[in-house]
Amino acid sequence: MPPSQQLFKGSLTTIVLKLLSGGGKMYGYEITKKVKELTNGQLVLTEGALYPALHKLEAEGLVVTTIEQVGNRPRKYYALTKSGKKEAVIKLKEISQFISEMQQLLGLKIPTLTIS
Amino acid sequence: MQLSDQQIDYLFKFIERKFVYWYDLQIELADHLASHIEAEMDKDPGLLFETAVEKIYQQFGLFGFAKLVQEKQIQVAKAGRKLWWQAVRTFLSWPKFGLLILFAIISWQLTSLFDLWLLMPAFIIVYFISKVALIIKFQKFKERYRRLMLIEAGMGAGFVSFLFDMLLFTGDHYESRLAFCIYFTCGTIILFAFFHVFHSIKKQVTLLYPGALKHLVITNKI
Repeated sequence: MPPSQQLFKGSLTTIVLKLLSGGGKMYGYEITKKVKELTNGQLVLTEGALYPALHKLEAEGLVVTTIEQVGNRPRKYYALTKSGKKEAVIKLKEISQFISEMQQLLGLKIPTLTIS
Repeated sequence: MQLSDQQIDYLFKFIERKFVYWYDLQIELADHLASHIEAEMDKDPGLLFETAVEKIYQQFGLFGFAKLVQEKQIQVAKAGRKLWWQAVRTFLSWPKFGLLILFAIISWQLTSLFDLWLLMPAFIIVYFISKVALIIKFQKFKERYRRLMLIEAGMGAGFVSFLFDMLLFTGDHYESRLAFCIYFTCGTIILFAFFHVFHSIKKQVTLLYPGALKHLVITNKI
């Protein structure tokens, strides 16, 4: 597993919460496709990692599911609950703080451009 | 392109052959496989359906769907326990806190009207009969819709109430009015929590799978 993929796995819940907070309801395959699209195919969200994460969020009451008939098959959609929306904000704040701390710690801080 | 009805049926059967017997999981996996296969066949129109199924199944890893099923079972049990505690917690805030006080007052009044050696066994009998009746009623429902993993959530709630049941048969609480009040109040809340869990699961099943219920009942009768 490439190092970026390992880091990615640790942030899976945050990524799923963020995607659901932006796009309303989504189904499993749509989430994997969206991740691939947003990272230009650099990161792959495997089915074996995605579904356990979604089921965990469902058990915790952070997402709610609905089933709709799409074409000739039923499809399960996931959407954030009220507490899921709050959790998404908290998780994003946490990860952004973590990234900035890591940048400081490892001296990776990208210089900000100042326009005069 | 869109897969035909026969191909969708094939996917459901394929998933079942891989030991995923629960309809709620099958729906999700069949749709995932179908969406992925459609995308692959759009990219490569020469790709055979059966080859695409096997190719995409490989992406679920060495253990196929097994790990996913195991994880789902853990989460379903967790959801059951969460529902149970949610029901218990409602008694610690208004308006149900009023009911908790009412149960305590009723039990205290009972201890002044009847002997504890009569009250305690009577309570234990009524408590167990009610609990068994609730479990039997849910078992019938469970049997009817056993192809839904969601149903298993009902079993996740049992552990704490089992500890309470053990406590009922131990100690010398037969001489304490306060102990009777605590047992009566807690026992009533536990029964309510069970009822809440079973009711919530039934509600969820009918909400999520209205179309599937008929199909499931027919399948189970065969």
